[in-house]
Amino acid sequence: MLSTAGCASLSGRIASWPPESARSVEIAGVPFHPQTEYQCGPAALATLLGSTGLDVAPDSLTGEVFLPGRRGSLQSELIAALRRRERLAYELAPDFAALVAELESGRPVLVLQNFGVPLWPRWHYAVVIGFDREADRLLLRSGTTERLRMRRTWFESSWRRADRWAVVAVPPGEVPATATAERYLRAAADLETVDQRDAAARAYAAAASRWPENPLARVALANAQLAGGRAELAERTLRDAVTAGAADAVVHNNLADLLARRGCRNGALAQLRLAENPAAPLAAPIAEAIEATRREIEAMPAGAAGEEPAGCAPATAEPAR
Amino acid sequence: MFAVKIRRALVSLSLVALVFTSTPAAVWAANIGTVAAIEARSPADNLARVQNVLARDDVQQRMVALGVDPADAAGRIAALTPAELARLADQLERAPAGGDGFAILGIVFLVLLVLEYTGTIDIFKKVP
Repeated sequence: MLSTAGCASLSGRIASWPPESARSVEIAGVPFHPQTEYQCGPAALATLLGSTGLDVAPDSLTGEVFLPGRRGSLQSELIAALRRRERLAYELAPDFAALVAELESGRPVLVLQNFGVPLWPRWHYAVVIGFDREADRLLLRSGTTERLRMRRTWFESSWRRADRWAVVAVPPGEVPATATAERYLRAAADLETVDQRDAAARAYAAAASRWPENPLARVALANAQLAGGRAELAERTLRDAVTAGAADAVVHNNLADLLARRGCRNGALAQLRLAENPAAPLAAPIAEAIEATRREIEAMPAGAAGEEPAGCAPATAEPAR
Repeated sequence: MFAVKIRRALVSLSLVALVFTSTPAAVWAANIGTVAAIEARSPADNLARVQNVLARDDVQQRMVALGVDPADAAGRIAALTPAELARLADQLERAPAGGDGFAILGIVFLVLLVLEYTGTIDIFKKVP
């Protein structure tokens, strides 16, 4: 994510418009915060937050993201500031087509530009709010200009010199147009890591419905349900994943855990055996966790005469038709 | 005497209750958490987690040295993930810091760009 200053690489050539893109887009309702000296970070951040319905003054962000000794703001701190306001920070793929697709879906994009040369980088943040394909321009809230119309080649030239870094601010429960499951779930987990659990839970739910075939999305949703005290719902989420063929070893392990918690010793062991026979080799921490689960379940006292509560049968994938 | 007995009984009762209510939570550590499941896919983040404790104080001190109000520094550090913190520990003084690049130096860039486009200079080398 962070490139090394002074070595900003030129990643690829100047890109052209994707063939299927709209003729012009200008996202409505994006506020304008003209920057003061060195304050393009707070200004761009306030602009982006404002577009998601959060009215924040750039001045109030300075203490959070401005680094006086560097006369600027760092990318990771802008992202952290988004997360602190329950916005999922999704970094786009470094690709002009992805930028255009996000704009078409109505999401403004905060970009890093470099107006210097490799030995003398000059970094700048701006928010892209649209484009005019006929005129070959991008529309930006930039510096002290409310509606900067920048030629595509100039924009691309400055953007690729900053490794085409771009981020969108996503309100909880929304999924960006160009998101991939892997990157989105990681961004959601980053929310959880900094204790934004509610926002993370809503992002996990959104991920599970956007990518129903993704086991990690189901695991994340079930864990959030469990943390909210809804073990039954979590079990159903994981059972559905298995039935739908969207289960991996972690799904089986966590489902075995849920079964064991409500006294299903045999069912849990049967479920866990499905985790121990994966198609792909397991990462070491996962294999260790599964082994620990097995030991814990085996240490459970067996029910009287092998009796188990109702609904203890392990979940299995529906046979392919 | 009687009061002591009652107190003892209450203490043992609450101990029993404590054991019964807390046992399942203590025993069941078998669930794989979301963050762990994600991090199992990229070992680099595990390394970041190990370095995290050291990096936290280090980055905080360096931020203050770069002029951040000490009162703000702790909160800023807390909002970073372990992986981000590890990267910052490595690059705080070098990572891109967006400031006034456009406002002041855009003109310099435009001049260079015009020269480049007209073929006078060739400093914006393309990746082959």
